[in-house]
Amino acid sequence: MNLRNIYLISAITFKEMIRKGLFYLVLFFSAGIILFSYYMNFFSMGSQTPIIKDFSLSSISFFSVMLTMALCVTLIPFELENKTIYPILSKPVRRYEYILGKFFGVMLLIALNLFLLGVLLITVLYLRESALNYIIFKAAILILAQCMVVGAITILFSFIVTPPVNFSLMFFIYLFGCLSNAYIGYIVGMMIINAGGITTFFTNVTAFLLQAFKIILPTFAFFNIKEAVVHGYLVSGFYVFEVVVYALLYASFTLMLAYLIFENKDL
Amino acid sequence: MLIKNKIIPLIIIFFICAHFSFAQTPLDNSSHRHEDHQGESGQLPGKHEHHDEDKGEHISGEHEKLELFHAEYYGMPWRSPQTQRDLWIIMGFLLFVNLGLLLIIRNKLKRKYGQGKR
Repeated sequence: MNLRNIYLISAITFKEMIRKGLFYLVLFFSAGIILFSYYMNFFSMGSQTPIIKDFSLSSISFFSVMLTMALCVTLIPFELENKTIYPILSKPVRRYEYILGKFFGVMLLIALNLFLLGVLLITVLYLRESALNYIIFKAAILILAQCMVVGAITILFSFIVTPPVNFSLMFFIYLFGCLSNAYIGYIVGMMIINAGGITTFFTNVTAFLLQAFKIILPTFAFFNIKEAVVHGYLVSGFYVFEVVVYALLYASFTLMLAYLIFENKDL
Repeated sequence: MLIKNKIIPLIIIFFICAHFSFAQTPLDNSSHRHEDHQGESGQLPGKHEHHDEDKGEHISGEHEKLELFHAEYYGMPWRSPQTQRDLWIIMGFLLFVNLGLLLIIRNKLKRKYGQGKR
């Protein structure tokens, strides 16, 4: 593995993506929402700080994931379509170095986006509370880990389906992954109630399929510590470490699958 | 052929093992709650409290289960021991699958090294 190749490809990808208007659009839109929540008084009955934290973190998380999906959906397919990938692969660059370089380039951009928005949110909260909320950094790390998983799966699907289908599929996976196990258990329970309290073959199959999707697809609920940030609960550093390791394992699994598909692809 | 012969069996094995490991997770609690509370399954946690008051000797165990369920239901996974357990099980399986894929990729690169394919 030539780390220099990966570094060069990631640097070029980073510069290429940062020139695109989409990054600035998401950055300024999210910053606008954070500043808007600071001045928004009509939702707060008492303390406005929980509103600022809740609103801001939700928008940062959602728009970072959408930005990741939008960038990764066209990352490799456009290069394949425009044949600009040939000069790169004709040099001594292996396909897995190319995929890793592209992936890290996008993740660097997302990390920059999260860093800027995190600093802005901490500043806004400091102006409001005169206290530094370091838990925002933990939340930002988990959002970055979440974006790593989303980005890796999007790159995998970009070798299989077209960009519009990829985006729709990823959106569905993201929504499904945000549901907690308890909520899915509640859905299954409601199905049983609607069937008159009897577990039929249909409800058993549906419960089995829901469980299967919940296991195979990533569980984005692990990355969500918004409740802790809003209500001031403690989140241990060990929990953040566990979830980051989970994200790294899932992303590496997905990228290895992507490499195996790309390796067998005739360009 | 690679996907059919190697990757799909890996994924199927992962899924089957994970399915039996997750047989006791809260996802399966809907059927357990159906057996225990006779038709009250699927209701929101608050509605169980009236039922728990009638069975005094089971309050402490049920109360703990309810607290853990609340932690996960209301979006506080870092407080739920069930989440910790789920995380470690999933990470274990992912590690197993990743090692398998790494071996496949390593063998592939060994076979193709020096043939100029990029």
